[in-house]
This record gives sequence, C-alpha cells and structure tokens, in this order.
Amino acid sequence: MLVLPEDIQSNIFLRLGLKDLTALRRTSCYFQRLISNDKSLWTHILEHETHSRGLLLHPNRSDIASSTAAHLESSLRCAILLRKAYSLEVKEDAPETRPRHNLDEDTTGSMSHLSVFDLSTNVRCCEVFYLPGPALAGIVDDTGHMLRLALTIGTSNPQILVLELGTDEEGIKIQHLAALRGFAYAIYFSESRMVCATKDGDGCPYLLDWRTGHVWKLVSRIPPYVMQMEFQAHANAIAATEWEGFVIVITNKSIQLFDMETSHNGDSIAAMLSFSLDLHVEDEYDGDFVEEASFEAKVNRKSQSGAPLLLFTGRRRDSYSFTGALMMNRGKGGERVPILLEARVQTLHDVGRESQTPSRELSIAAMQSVVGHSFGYVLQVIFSKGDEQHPLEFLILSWSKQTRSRDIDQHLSTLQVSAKMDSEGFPVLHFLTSIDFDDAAGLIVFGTSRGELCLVRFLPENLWIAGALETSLPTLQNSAISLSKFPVSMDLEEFYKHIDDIRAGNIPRALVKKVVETWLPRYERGQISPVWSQDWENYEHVEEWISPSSTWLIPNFSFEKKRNGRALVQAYRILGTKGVITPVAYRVTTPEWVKDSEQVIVRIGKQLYAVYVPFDSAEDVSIAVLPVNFDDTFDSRMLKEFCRDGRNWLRDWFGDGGKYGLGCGAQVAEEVLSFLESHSEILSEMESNPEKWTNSEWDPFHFILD
Amino acid sequence: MSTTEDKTRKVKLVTSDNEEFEVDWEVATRSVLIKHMLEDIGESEEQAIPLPNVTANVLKKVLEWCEHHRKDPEPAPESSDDNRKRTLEIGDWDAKFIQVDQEMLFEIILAANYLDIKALLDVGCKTVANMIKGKQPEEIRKMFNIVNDFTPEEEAQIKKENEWAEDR
Repeated sequence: MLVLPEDIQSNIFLRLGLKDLTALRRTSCYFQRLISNDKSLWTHILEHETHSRGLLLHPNRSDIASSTAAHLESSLRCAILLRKAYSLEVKEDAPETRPRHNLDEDTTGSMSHLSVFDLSTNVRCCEVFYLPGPALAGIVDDTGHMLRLALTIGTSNPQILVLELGTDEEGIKIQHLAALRGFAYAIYFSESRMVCATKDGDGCPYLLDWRTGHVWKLVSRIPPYVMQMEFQAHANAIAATEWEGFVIVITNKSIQLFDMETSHNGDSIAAMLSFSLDLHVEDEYDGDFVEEASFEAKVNRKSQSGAPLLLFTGRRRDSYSFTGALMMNRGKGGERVPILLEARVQTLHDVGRESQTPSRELSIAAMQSVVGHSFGYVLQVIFSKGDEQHPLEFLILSWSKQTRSRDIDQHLSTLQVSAKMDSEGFPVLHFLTSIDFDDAAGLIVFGTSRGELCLVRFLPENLWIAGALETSLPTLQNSAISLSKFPVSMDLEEFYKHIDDIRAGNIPRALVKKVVETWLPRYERGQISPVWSQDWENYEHVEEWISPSSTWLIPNFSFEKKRNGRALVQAYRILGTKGVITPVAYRVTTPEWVKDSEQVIVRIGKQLYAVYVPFDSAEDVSIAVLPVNFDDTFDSRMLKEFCRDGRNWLRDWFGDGGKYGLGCGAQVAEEVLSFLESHSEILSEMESNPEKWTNSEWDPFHFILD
Repeated sequence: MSTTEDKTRKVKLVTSDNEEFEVDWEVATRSVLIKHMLEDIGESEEQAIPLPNVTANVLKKVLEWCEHHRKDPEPAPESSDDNRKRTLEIGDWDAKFIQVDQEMLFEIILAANYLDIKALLDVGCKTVANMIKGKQPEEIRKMFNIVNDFTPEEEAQIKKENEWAEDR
C-alpha cells in the first residue's frame, strides 16, 4: 500500500470509517502523520459522522475553513464523547471527575472582584480583577473570536459593564469596552445589540446599540382583557435573542416579536406579534409565570420543510420546566410568518427525587435553578441549600429535546460547595451566565452577588476540546483601559454596610433616612390626600421596604422567620419584574375593609401599584395594578378617588376577574368621573362618593365604558 | 469531437515494455487520458499512443475492464462523489475482476490513476478500503507489510489517544 502515492492513499482513506482510520493510523508513524494531518479527510469524516450519528458540533467552533485537521478531529472527538457522557447512566463511583470549587473568603465585604479560575487541573484562581460594584447579573457572548461579558454592576446606581476576556503574551487579561449607565440586566448580547430588562428602574425591555448608545424601548403587545397581574407580566423581559430579522423577547407570560426589518424610527419599537405562553399544568394561581428562560443560540435549526426553527426552554415559578419552538414560515408574497410551533411543559424536576441523596431532601423553596441549552440538550442546574455539612449543592440535569420521557433525564453531576462560601452573609451563587460557555459544554459560570464570577467544570477531562477555554482563551483584539487589579471602592447600597445590625433586627435611623430620601420624587408633585403619607421615616413597617432589591437577597432569608424586606421581596416575586420597586406613599389611616393589612403605593418606572401587606406575616402580600401613571396622576384627583375609604372598586372593575381589563382603565375612570361632574343629577340620586358604590351602582355606566 | 465513425475506429496503444494493443476507440476512451491524447493528435492520424507508465500485463487487465464497461454512461460529475465514497459496495463483475494479488491490485490502481479512469480507480480504492475495514492495527500491518516503527511507549500512548473512536 506504501507504493501508492499520497493522493491515492488519501482517496482510500475517504472511504474508511472513523474506527478503521484510527486503526490504520496506529500501524506506523507514516500513517499516523498522513491521517492526522489530512484536513480534507477530517472535514469529510466530521461531516459524515455528525450526519450519521446526529451529532451537534459546537456552533462557535464549527468554522471548518479556518480549522486545522487536528482541530476538526478534536471537535469530533469532543462531540462523540459528549454524546456518550449524556447518554451514560450517572456513575456514582466517579467522584474524581466532579470538580469542586472553593472561593477564598473575603471578610471585608466591601470589595467586588471578578476571579478567573484555571481549570486545567483543579479549579484554581489565577487572576483577579476588581469591579466598581457587585455583579447582579451577567451574560456572555462568545463569538468564537472573543469572549465578551455584559455584567450588571452596582446596586445603588446600576450600570452594565461590557468586558472582554482574552489573553495576550502576559496571560489572561480583561478589558473594559463600555459602561452603560442606568441599564441593568442584559438578557441578550451580540456584536452590537443588547436587550436589557430594565433602564433607570423601569421594568420594560430596552434594545440598545451598545457601541453607539442608541436606545429603543420595546413595547410589548398585550392581549385584550388580561388579568391585572398578567398585564405587567407581558412586559417583564426574561430572555431575548435575535432571529430571522426579529428581536424575540420571552416575558413572564408571552413571547414578543419585534420586527427589526421594518423601519423603527423614534425611540420605541412595538411588538409586531406576540404569543401567549399558556403552560398550564394544574390549576395553580401563579404557577404558569415564567421565571427563567433561554434560547438555543447560534444553531441554525431547520424544520423538515426547511423553515427556520428557534428552540427555547425555561422554568416556571412552580419549578416545572418547559420547552417550545418558533418556526418561520413564508407567506405567498415571501413575507415572514412566524408561528409558535409548540410550548409545553416537559417534566417536573422535583429535586431530591430518585434519591441520589435520600437523607438530604432538598427544599424546593430554597432552590434556584437555571436552564440552558447545550449541544442539543437542555441542561438544568439547580442549586439548593442542604444540611450543615453541605450547605450548598448543585444538581446538574440534562434531558434531550427530542424525548419527553422523564426516564431520559440525566443527573449529570452533583457539586457540593463548602460551608465557608456562605458564611459571610452574602449570597454565594446568584446567577449563572451561561451553561454552554465553552466548547465542551461542561463549563458553567456562576456569579456571586458580591462580584465574583466562578467558572466551574462538571465534565471529565477527556471531554475538553483542543483549543477550548481551558487551554486557550481568545486573543484580545483591542486595547481599551484594563480593569483595576487593585481593590476599588464599591458602589454598594448603604443597606449592606449595616447588614449586621439589620440581621440583628436593629435598623439604624441614619440608614432609613438615607434610603427613603431616594424614594421621594425629584420635583414637587402637589398635595396628596391626607390619608396618605410620604413621611417614611415615621412609617412603622419601613423595614419591609428598605432592602435594596430582591436581586440581593438577605442570606438565609425565609418568609416565615424574617420580617425584613418581606413586603418588598414578595412584591418582586409576584410582579416577576427586574425593574426597581420604589415605594411612593403609605396609608396613614387604615380603612375598615383592609384593617388587617397595611397599604403602600409603589412604582416601577412610571407604573403604579397598590400593595396590601397583611399584618399576619404568614399571609401573602397582594398587589393591584393601578391604571394610572406616576407622572400624570400621582397627586391628582384620580389617586385620591381610588384610595378613599370604602370599596376598592378598582379591584372589582379592573382587577383580577374585573370586567374591563386594565388597558383602558385610567381612561375609563377619567371618563366616569368627568361624566359625573357634568351630570350632577345622577349623583343626587346616588351615594355621592363613588368609592362606596357597589357594582349595581356602577352598572348604569356601562354605556360610557362601551 | 466524437462522431458516429468513432465507434468503428481502432486505437493503437504501446506499453512501457513495447507491446502494442489495438482496441476499439470506445474501449480506449474509457481512459480520459487517452481520449484527450486522441483529440490532440486528431482523427486522421493512425499514430500509436505511448503509455510509458503501464506494463503490458497491467494494461491487458485494464483493457479487460474497459471492454466490459465500454457501454457504461459517462462518469457522473464530481458532485456525486460523496455518495460514492460512503458505500464500499462493488459490482459482481468488478469484484471478480479485482480478485488479483496485492501487487497487481496496486498496479491497476496506479494505472487507473495515470490513465484517468475514475470508475476503475474507484473499484481499486474500494477494494483496498475493504481490506482494511474492521481490522486491528496488527492485522493491517501484516496485510500490507507495514513496519511498526513506534516505540512501545508511543504505541501505548497512541492507542489511548484513539480510544474515543473505537466504539459507538
């Protein structure tokens, strides 16, 4: 066979399978060299094997044109081994392949740093950079050439820092590309575009060109006659992506499609289309609220008919996970017609089941989880508090999108984290930026709210592709200012500087004063009704409102034990918003019908809400959306009327189960009130205070409402 | 170029060991090389075509193949390459034809390559691939007389490196 020239040998190789080629390669140095370096051969094998085995290659590493033969082989090896790992039963006896990581405890609590961990042998911190505030959230864009992070930094004045992670001759470097003040919670991040869940505290999604700073508000389509809580939910952005010329946003309740191909002048873009995410499992009050979601990015999926597909997945508030797909059809004129192909609940991932750890049942209440995509699989990482020896635990589960049986779920790994990490009183694992962060899909990135970013590997050694993050970070392209390698002062809410006092139940008055000052409107808004007050320093339950935001939970928080922040935390949970909740006014005199609760008006952006906090802390807070705008009507007749003693007609008419939904609420109420002013004869026959009306008294006003 | 009279035309081929073969134009032009040479020298000439890289015993075998496949349609364009490579199936006649010793097999492959007879080259390469298929490295070495020039350490290392591809 050696008599044949190389091109004929190469021709023969092309006819061999992977297994035979590796056997041939093992015969001699000559074949080892020839086969290993034949790029067209490995291109062919890669195509053939991925096709015949249905493998998915890492989208960021599938650039065949610029890859070497060795790189192609490595991609294939990785994909095959990964497939095996996903389809193997969990091995209880493989603890050495389960990485652990420990963070050095930082006792000052006043520094925020970003740590890069060396994953080559043990998880070892090799580089630390300091940030000007705690990282509340983060997202990663891996273009294949570059690793970029968009981190939400700081609690009192949040901003998004765009950082670039890479190497130069001297080692790992992080560079600072942009600071986007006022923006928080990037949920989509690409070469130039970003979608943020909030801007200046307003809990609506914004699209921005992060290089130029151009901003558009994304205005959701809200189905007619939705319930009041759902009204807000349709605007609370959870995940976003770009697909087929659309910016797609998943909210608590729906998928919103913003068409980027039609012109979008001005500073807002209205959704062209929306799909409701009806994911009912059982008749539960708020179970179908989506709490986290993600899209399968950078995989150009097609349906059998060739139409583009976009897969997404997520978790509901009640810990059910779901998957779904959008498909892009073409109309007769070639226009794009997106349809929701399916959206359904997949499996209940009740943690602690089929017990790997029967003695330590994990409490669902204490659990947080993140769902992501990886190589055609859905991964779910759940972290939870366990017992004292294992205060924090991750369960990493995967399931295939193709199957629905829960038997297919794989418990990939359990990570246990030392007690040390949680000892300082700051939450340790706060967000997970990406599961499919690296080539081998075995690296996950956790951020802590103190600003530490931890990279954790959960798959064994041989699943690492050549050229993966562990061996070579992308090379940096430009040279903006480096981040500080020395501690810098941190932008941290006053609240945390008094955390010990607060946990002991003593809230310093100076702190209260500082916090409540930030709640007051920046300019005079006129008189408010005497039954309401903004004198927060003298408010009896102010401690329930001064914790900065639910995104920075007090550790060991429990709804039963702690009163601190109860109302605020519950309000965040019910509203499912990432916008900042700012208290506006509290009720001084409690009316008869709500005498067992206190009432507070709060706002997110301009949207006003009435919050009812029961004195009995075992009972849940309830919230009503006010159909009025903070800027327009806060001090006006409207608010006074709404809040007078008597029935809460708002709730009856525009609230849950109310007749007229919310969208036209403010307008309708204005109309009713002006109608009454101009028709005093009606009032003379009726109770003069509309607040005291019953539904039968409202009924004659149907014609106005219609 | 090809006209109806081509069918009756005879072509003379001279091997490296100076043996002359006279074959039908249709048979000889299974070889793209010969076809191009004939086009170059024109139709009128009765000139013999020299094939300095092919010996008589090999050419005889090759012409046997060409004779059998004289009516085959023109080889499919490049695009079907992939499909062809994925299957290692060989037609009955070809399989019997290629049952030769290894030396002759490689000679036929080399000749098919030189004469540019794609389909025959294909048969040859498939045959070699079939010989390799399913064998362990040691068996392959034996079959093709390959000298193992790895050190034992290297061999163990390479075995380990290739384990991922072994089974599904």
